[in-house]
Amino acid sequence: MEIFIQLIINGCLTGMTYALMALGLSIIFGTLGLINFAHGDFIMLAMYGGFLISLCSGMDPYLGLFIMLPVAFVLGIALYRFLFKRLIDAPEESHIIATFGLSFVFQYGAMLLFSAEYKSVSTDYSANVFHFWNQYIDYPHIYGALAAVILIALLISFLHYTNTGRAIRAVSEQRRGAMMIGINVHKIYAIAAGLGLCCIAVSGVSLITFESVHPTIGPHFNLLCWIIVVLGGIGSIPGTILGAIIIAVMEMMVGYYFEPALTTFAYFVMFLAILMIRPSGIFGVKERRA
Amino acid sequence: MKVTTGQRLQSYIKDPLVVFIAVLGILPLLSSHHFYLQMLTLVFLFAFFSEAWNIISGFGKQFSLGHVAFFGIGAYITGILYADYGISPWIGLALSGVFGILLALLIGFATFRLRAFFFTLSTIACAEALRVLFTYWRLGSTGLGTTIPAVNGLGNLTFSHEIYYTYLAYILLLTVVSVTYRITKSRIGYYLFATGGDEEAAKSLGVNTYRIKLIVFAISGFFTAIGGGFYCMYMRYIEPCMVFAVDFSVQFAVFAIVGGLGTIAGPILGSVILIPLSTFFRSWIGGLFTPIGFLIYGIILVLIILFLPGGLMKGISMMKDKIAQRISSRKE
Repeated sequence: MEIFIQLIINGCLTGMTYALMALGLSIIFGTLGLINFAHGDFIMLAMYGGFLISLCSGMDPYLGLFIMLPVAFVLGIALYRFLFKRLIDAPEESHIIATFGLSFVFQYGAMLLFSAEYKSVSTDYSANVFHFWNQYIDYPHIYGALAAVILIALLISFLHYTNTGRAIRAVSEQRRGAMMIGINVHKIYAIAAGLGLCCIAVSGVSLITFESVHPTIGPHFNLLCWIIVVLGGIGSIPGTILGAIIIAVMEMMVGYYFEPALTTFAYFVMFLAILMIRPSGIFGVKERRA
Repeated sequence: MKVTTGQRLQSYIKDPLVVFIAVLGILPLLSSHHFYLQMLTLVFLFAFFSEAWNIISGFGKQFSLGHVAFFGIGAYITGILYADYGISPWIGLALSGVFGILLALLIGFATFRLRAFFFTLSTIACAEALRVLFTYWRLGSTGLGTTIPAVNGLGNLTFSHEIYYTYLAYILLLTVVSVTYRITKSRIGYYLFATGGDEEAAKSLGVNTYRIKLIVFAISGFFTAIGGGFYCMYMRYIEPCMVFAVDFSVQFAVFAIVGGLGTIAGPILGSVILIPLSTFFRSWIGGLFTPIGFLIYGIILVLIILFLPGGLMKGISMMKDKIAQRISSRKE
C-alpha cells in the first residue's frame, strides 16, 4: 500500500512536468492549427540546452532558464516566420510530412553534435529525498512539478487576464472572427509559437534533472504529448493536466507492477482505447469531422 | 469499340511507365558484380515498399508513418517460423500477409472515423509499441537477434547468387505496381481519389470512405508485411530494433514523396534516385553517413513540401509543359 501511494505521488509530480510539455503542444496546435510531429524533438533539444548550460557554467539547470526562456521565445517566433507560416494554410498532410522531416533533422543533427550517448545532469539535490510518513520523494521531481505549476499558473493568467492572452484565445477559437475585429493574427501566431517553445524549455530543463537525454528520445515524448492532449481533450487546459497525471501514474504502475520496458506498449493500447471509446477525450468537445 | 489484345499491348508499349519498369528489369543483367546487384535488389525492394505505402498514403492521403510495423511483423513471422520451427518461408510469407491485414484492420477500425492525423499518430505509436514488445519478448531461440540459417533452395527462399533475390524483388515490385494500376482503374480507386481529395465531399456523394480506407490500408499492410518477410530472408538476420526502426517508415515515405505522391511511377523514381545516391555517399563518407543521410532526408522532406509538393513527377510534367510551350511558340 505504501508503495502504491508512493507511485501515485510520483506519478502526479511527473505528471505536472508532462502536463507542461503537453500544454506546449496544445497551444501550438490549438492556436496555429499546426500538427507538429517534431514536438518531442523540441523537448529533446531543450533537455540538451539544460545539459549544456549546466556543463559549461556549472550552474543549476533551472538558473539556465534565464537564458533559455528568451532564446526559446525568439526561436518560436523564428520557426513561425520561416516554417509554420508557410505550413498552416497547407493541407494537414503537409504539416505531418514537414514536421516529421523536421523531427529527423533534429534527431540526426543532435546525433552529430552530441553523439548517441545518454547524457544527464547531476545537481546538488539530485540524491536528496524528501521524507514524510514513510514516503520518499526525490527533490528533482518536486522542483520539476513546482516549476511546472508556476509556469502553468502564469500561462493561464496570461491567457485570461491580458489582452494578448485574450487575443490568443480568440484566434484559437475563430481565426476569421479574430481577424475581423482587428487582431493581428500573424503576430498572435508568432507569440503562441514562442509561448509553446517556452513551455517546452521549462519542461526540458525539469526533465534533464531526473532523466537522461539522448538524440532519439524525441519521438517518445512526441507520442506521450499527443496521447495526453487527445486523452484530456484537445484545447482544454484542465483536461491536459488531468490527462498528463493519468498517463504518468499509469506509466509508474505499469513500470512497477508489470515491466518498465512495456510502458510504450501501454501508451499505445491506451491510445487505441481512447480513440475507440471517446475520441474527443475527457474534457473535449466533439470533433467536427467525426 | 472493342479493344483487342494487340491494341492494348501497343498502348502499353507506348506508356512511359511500362518502358521505365521494363528497363529496370534489364538492369540486373548488365553486370554480375555483387555490389551492383545488391544495390539493385534494394532499389526494387524499397520501390516495392514505397509503392505499397503510396497506395494508402499517396492516393488516399492517409499518412502512415509507422509502416515499419507491418514490415517488422512480416519479418518476425517469417523469420521465427523458419529459423526456430523449420516452417517454409513461403508459408511464413502467406501468414505475414494475413497478419499485415489484421494489423491494418485493427488500426483502421480505431482511427479511420477520426481526423486524418489520429491515424498517423496511431501508426507511429503502433510501430513503437511493437518494437518495445518484441524487444521485451526476445523471441527466437538465440536471444535478442535471430539468424536465419542458409540452406540454399527455392523452398527455403535462400539462394547462392544475388541475382535470384534481385529478380524476386523485381517480381514483388511488378506485382504491387500492377495491383496499384488495377486499383487506380477500378471503382475502389475512384472512391479512394475522392476520399483523398476531399473526404467530406466524397461522403456527401455517398462514398463509404471508412470502408474504402480500410480496404486500401489492408492491401497496403498486406504487401508491406510480405515484403518484410522477404527482407528478413534476404538479410538473414532480424532483431527488433532493426526491423522496427523508424528509419524504414521514413524511407518508404521519403522515396514516394520525392518521386511524387499519388503517382505510380513516383515511388519507383524516388528509390531509383535516392538509394544509389545514399549508397554512394555511404561509401564516400563512411560510417558517418547514417546520421547525415537521415538529416538530409529530413531536410528534403521539408523542402519538397514547401517548394515542390508534387515531387519529381510534378516537376517533370511541369518541364514537359514548358518545353511544349516553347516548341509551339517557336513554330509560330
